[in-house]
Order: sequence, then C-alpha cells, then structure tokens
Amino acid sequence: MSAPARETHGTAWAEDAAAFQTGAGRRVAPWIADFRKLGLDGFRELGFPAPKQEDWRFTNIAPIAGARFPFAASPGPGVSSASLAPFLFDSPDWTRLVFADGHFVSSLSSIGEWDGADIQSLADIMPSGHPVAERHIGQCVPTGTNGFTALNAACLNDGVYINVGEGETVKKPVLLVYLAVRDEPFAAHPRNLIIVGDHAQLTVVELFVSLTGGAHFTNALTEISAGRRSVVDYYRIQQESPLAYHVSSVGVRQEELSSFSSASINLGGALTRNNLSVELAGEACTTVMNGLSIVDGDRHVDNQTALDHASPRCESEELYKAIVDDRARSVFNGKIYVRPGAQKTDAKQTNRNLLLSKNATVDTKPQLEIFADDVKCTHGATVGQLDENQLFYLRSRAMDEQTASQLLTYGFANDIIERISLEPVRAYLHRAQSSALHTAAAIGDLQ
Amino acid sequence: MSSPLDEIANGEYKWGFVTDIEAKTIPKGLSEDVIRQISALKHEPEFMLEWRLKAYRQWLKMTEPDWPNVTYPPIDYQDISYYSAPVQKKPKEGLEEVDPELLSTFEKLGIPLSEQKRLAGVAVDAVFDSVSVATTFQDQLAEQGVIFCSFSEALRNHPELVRKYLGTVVPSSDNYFAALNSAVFSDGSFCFIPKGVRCPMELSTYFRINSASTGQFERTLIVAEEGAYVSYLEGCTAPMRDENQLHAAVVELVALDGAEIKYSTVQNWYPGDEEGRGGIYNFVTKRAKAGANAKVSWTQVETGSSITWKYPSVILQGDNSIGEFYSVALTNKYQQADTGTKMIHIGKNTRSTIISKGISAGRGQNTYRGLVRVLPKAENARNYTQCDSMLMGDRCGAHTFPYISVGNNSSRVEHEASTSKISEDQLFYCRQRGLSTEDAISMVINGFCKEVFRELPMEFAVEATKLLSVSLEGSVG
Repeated sequence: MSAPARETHGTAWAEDAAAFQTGAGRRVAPWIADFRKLGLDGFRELGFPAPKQEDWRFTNIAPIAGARFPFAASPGPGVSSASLAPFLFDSPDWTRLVFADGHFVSSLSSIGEWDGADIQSLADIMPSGHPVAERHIGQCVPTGTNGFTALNAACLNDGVYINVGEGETVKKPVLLVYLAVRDEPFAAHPRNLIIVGDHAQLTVVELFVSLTGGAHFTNALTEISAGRRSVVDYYRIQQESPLAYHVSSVGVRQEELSSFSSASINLGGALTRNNLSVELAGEACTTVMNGLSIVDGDRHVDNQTALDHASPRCESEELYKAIVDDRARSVFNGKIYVRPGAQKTDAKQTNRNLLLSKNATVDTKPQLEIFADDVKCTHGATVGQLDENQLFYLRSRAMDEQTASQLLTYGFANDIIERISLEPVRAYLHRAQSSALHTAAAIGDLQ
Repeated sequence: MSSPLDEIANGEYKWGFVTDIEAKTIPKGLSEDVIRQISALKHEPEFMLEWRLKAYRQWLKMTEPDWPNVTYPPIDYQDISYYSAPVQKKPKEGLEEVDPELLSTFEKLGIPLSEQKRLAGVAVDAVFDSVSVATTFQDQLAEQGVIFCSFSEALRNHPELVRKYLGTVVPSSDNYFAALNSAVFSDGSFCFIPKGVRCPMELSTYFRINSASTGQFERTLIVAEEGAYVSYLEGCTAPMRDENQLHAAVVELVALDGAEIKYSTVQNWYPGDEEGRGGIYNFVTKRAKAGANAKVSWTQVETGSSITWKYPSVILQGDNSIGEFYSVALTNKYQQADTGTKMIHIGKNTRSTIISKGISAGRGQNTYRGLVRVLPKAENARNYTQCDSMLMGDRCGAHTFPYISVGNNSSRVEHEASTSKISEDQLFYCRQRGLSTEDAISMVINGFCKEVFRELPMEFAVEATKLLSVSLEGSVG
C-alpha cells in the first residue's frame, strides 16, 4: 500500500475542525478533548484520500475536499414530529434517537424505560466522559484509518452510545434517524459507539434522510463491538438528497461464537462511499453482509467491505447488489483476508450488478487474500443486464416490455430486501425501492 | 502434521547445470554507452539505437512498480551485465557449425536442435544467454513465406517489418521493466506469418540463461497478417545459482484481422533453493493486439522463477475478436507469483475467457491479478473468468485481485473464484485404489489443471504435467 498522499485541499477542513474544537462551548471530559485533538492531528497528517491510493482509485472525493461544508452548530429550524413521521417504519414504539443536522433532538426521540441497554446520545455523556465509552472509542475503527475517520474524530460532537449488558436482550429495535434539515450546505460527523456484551442481543437501524434537496455532507462512523455469543443485527439505510455527499465508516469486532448480520441499503446521495470492516477476532463467528445500491443520474456509489477472518471456524456470507442506470457508477471492492491459522474458514462473497443504461459503469473487485490451507473461500462477480429468457417468459405471458423489465429489476433488488428479518424495515424498503426504481405501483403490489 | 507426503524428497531442479562455454560478456553496469555497445555488437540499424536510447531515457525517469504483491530486495541495475553471448569461432551457416558444447546443452534440456531428429516437426529458435544460437527449419518455413528467425537476424534482413511493428503493442515506455527491456534487449525471436498462411509447424523458442550475473532481456515479436495462423511455444530454464538473476522480457503479438495466434509458455526458470536463495526474477510484459475477427490465446504453465510478475494481455481492438488466457501458476518453497491477465474490450462483440489455476505449496505466495475492462463502445462484449486456487500446507498463501470494469449495458461479465485445499477425500479414494500418495496428489493436481493443460500442444502438455509433479515434490504435508 502506498503512503498516504498529503492533499493540500484538506487545509480548509482542518481549519474548520480546529475552530469547532476551540468553539465547542460545552465542557467535555479531558479524554474527549484529547481524542478530538488526536483526530485533528491525524487529519492534518493524512488529508483527504487521493485517487492514487488503491482503495480510492475509483472514487474521487475531490467534490467533498474542494467544497466547504461548515459545521452545523445547531439543529436546523422547523423539524417537527410530522416531518419525522414517514421515517418511523410505522413502529412508534421502537426506541429511537433522532438527530437533526448532526445534533440529538430529545423532543423527537423516545428512549423508553430500561430495555437491557444503556442508551444515550453521545453529547449527553460527553461532560462526564463515560469510562466505558472511553475504553471502546477508536477500537473498531482506528482514528488514523483515513482522512475521513480522522475528521470524524476531530469533529466528535454527537451520535449514540449503546451498551447492552451481559446476557441482556434488547427486545425492541433501536432506530437512529439522521435528518438533514437545513437547506444550506453543512457537515455532520455523527459517531456511534455500540457495545454488545456477552450473550446479549441487539438490533439497530440507522436511517439517513434529507428533508430538503440541498447539498450536505455526512461523515458517519459506527463502531460495533460484539461480545461472546452475542447476536447483532445492523441495518443501514441511506436516502439522502441527490446532491448529498455521504461517507461512512463502520467497524465491527466479533468475539467468539457471535453473530453479526448487516444490510446496507443505498438509495440516495450524489456521492456515497461506505467502508464496512468486520474483524472476526473470536472463533466460530457468523457474519452476514448484504448490500443494495440503486443509482441513477450522475450519482456514484462505492461500497468497500473488508472481512478479516482472524480466527478459525468462522463463516461469512456476503451479497452485494447494485442497479445502475443513466450515467451512474457503482463501485464494489470486497476484501476477504484469511489469516494464518484461521483454518476451517468458510467465506462466500458475491457481487451482482445490473446495468440498465448504455452509459452506466460498474467497477468491481472481489479480492481474496488467503494464508491458511484448510479453508473454503469463493467469490463471484457478475455484471450484466436482465435475462432475456426471463423477459421473454414474461412477455409470452402478455406482460408489456416495460412492466416485465420493471418486475425483473424489482425482483433483483428484492432478493436483498427479503433477507432482512425485520418486517417493518422490509415494508419500508419495498416502498422506497419502488420509488427509487420508478416502478409502477402495480409491481409493488405484487409483493 | 507428518505424513508420507512430507517425505517425498524436495523436488530437484534438473536443469540446474552450468555449461562451461566461452562467453563474451560485457562488463556490468548500465549507461548510454553500454546500450551503444550492445547495438554496435549486434550491427543494428541506426533507428534501433535511437529507439533503445529513447527507451533508456524514459526508463531513467520511471520508478520500479511497488504494487505487485511480492517482496524482494532492491535490484541494483548497475550490478548486472546486460549482454552475454557464447563465443563462436565464425558466423554459423548451419547447425553443423554450432559449438557442439552448446548443442549438447540443448540436448540435455531435451531440445534437439538437429533437424533430422525431429519427430513432431517443431521449428526451434534457441536463445542462449542473450543471443539466439540456432534456428531450425528456416528453409521449409520460408517456402510458405513464414519468417522465423532471431531478432538480430530480423533486424538485418527485414528491418522494415521490425520497424513497422516493434513497440506497437508494448510501447517502450509502457512500464518500468518494458522500458528497461526496450533499452537493452539483446535478442529474441521474430516471427512473421504472411496473409492467409497457416504456419505448417509449431514454432518454438527455448530460452536459457547460463552465465552468472547477467540479466536476460529478450524480445519476441510475432506478426500474423490477415487470416494467418501460428502456434508458438516458449520454454525457459536457468542454472542454479545463489544470486538472483533478472529476466525482463517483452513479448508483442500482432494479430491482424482474422488472424489467430496461440502462444504457449512453459516457464521453468530456476526457482531458488529451499531457503529461498537465488532464483530468477521474472518480470515480463506480454501483450497482444487483436484485429477484427482475430483470436489470441495465451496458455502458460508457470512453475519456475523465484518471483514472477507477468500479465499476458489482449487488447481486443477489432470487432468480434477473441482473447483467451489459460494459466497454471505454481509456487513452492519461497516462490512468489503475481500473475494474471488483462482483457481490454474495445471492439463490438468481443469475447474473452480467463481460466487461472493457482497452486501454492511450501511458503509460496500466489497472486492472481486480472483486469477485465469493457469500454463503453464495446457493445455485446462477453467475459467469463474462473480463477481457482489450491493451497497445500498452512504457510503458503493464495490471493486474488480481479478488477472488473464495465462501461455499457449490453455486455456481460462473470467472475468466479474459489480457494480450497487439496481434497482429503479424493486423496483417500486414490490411495484406497492402490495409488501412492505422490501419484494421488499428482493426479488430483492434474485434474485441477486439466482445463489449462488441454489447451497446450501435445508435447508441452506432457512436459507440463511432469514439471508440475516434480515441482510439487516434497511440498505436501
């Protein structure tokens, strides 16, 4: 890997972050101030990733680096429970934390009584500097991973802290809604710290939406630590405005016999880049990673996943799909490492891409690096269009061409959605998918 | 884990002898003067010297690539001799005049140069250290208009053809090692098949590094005119030495409209010893350009070299052209291989197939690195890629880095890869039927590589099969 290039145009961003740090009026625990400082130093050192770096060669982040997205000092105006309503998955009883322009809004949130977990906004624990948070922060996503993770640390301001006690099962899913409210450009750097104890169970849903069609920048970071025999379900839905820039870094560390299951759904954003890395630190873990991206116009989506089989007898299954229309571009890079000694690893990775237009582009790189012999690892990637035989079949059943192709496209995407075990999320995504694909209502009704 | 597999003696490198033959070797070092000297020694036309110097000046500005998944100590390019040639008393006119010592070397390697002894009718160009020592069957080929000779001879007799095609597929500034090769290449093979001719026999080049501290930089240029066909074989060996030797070759294939070139390689350079000392650094650039309806097929069996860095590629420029890549790469001991292919689809209805089989044993590291690029105008392009890796032992590695880039919606690209260990069940089954463990392994490996071996010409397939079992001896356990 080449040394990180110093990008000069990160300077303005560093200045903004430094201003935020001095201006952040609220008193915070000393370690938080130190952590921010570390992030700023890291960002000054790293700058934004350059296209010369192998991991960033297909995604040019110059539009972010070159633009100025000031830090939003407060939630934008006019956000009400009515504007929030469509994003609650028809499940008002779920524990939910709502963030507007990167700030926790307690009036819209609902953290019920103790359901097995300590759930707070990060801003709330900052003055006291929760010792557990201190111990875990920066563990699953090291601050110096890249310029974005460093910038997130430098601008550490809000997010969620969830600590599920040993043996506890959090019965209701925890919903995290990130609303972009204001119209003018702004940046938010939400950071989530999720700690799931041994034998514990948790479902988290992250939803990123824009209430206006404006340009803004989200630089989200989530760290998930899954204890022994724990079960963690993690859903991530990104539906920001078509002008928004979205970068996410999700790091997961799994202990022995734990199970982690994720779905990353990308329907919005002008430029989206998701980094998901999972470390299988303990033996016999199970990991499921699913992803769906629907892009059209001139949009760009880039999913990077890294799965580190560091221990024996772990199983992983990964399926990422993309539907690419107009002049859009989808990038996928799935890395699987099998470390020396990680015997009996069973890893399966698939990437499927559907190109709907002449000018759409797909770059995919499923990558295996294997250092143990008694393993089963497969990966596959396909890039293509709708199956002519299937189209023909539907046409022979008197379905018009447009409906037939819409139905097949819908089915292609639906494969991922059907893998989600939470019914309200599935129902929500069926609707969201139909609108992203401009599918006729009749097809959604076939559901 | 101790099994009978451990006990199989470590594969001996049978080709590791040194021929004691007087050689003219120019002093170590690289400079414009050295390049002038090489060019003068070879009595080259002026344009060639210019071309070399231009490449050298570009090379000076380039940096060695660091992206391959291999590690080796830095190479001192001044510590290499760039030209070594067996001394012959006078210009040779026929095989009778070739130094008998040289001929016996090739006999030992199993390359009989004496035409009368040929059974299969394969025309051979033998390259010893830097220069071509003998080319057989030239007369018979000439009857059909086929030119098959050493590169130096081609420069003397057909400079216009060389000038027309040299560097058209691999430009001199293409990459670091290609630029180095362009500056200092000493010899190689040149092959020209005129329009509509089906080359009556298989052409073959045999490369041998003999002298110490020399690098071998050969250049092969094959031109198949419209509708022509040629099958070309290439083999390589080197003596065992403690030091690493550099081999930086360039192969250019030009397949004009409707032509077909089949290029097969069995690469068996010295892989280094048990501790990873010595061995050849094999940094090779191979590329083909295919015109409309042309077909280029690369088949390679890579068992040698301490480091292999090579990506035989096809630029599918013409409509309906076809590119194929069949590869078996084996790494044992401390060998490292970073190999694969590039298929660049430019024309419409272009098709490519990639079958890559990687076998890692001992402490070998085997990397498949491939690129399939479908440009927006390459409508209805089709690619199928399959790369399988087999691991033997827990200290080796198998890596896959496939890049797929598709720029239109009428193309279809499929990539499949799997990694597994040699199947215990299959071994058990064979053992149960009375096969020895070595034979069982050899049989399983051959089955694993079958799709590639069947693309090889007959004699090569036999050789490759043997080579594989020898290279793997002592590696399983």
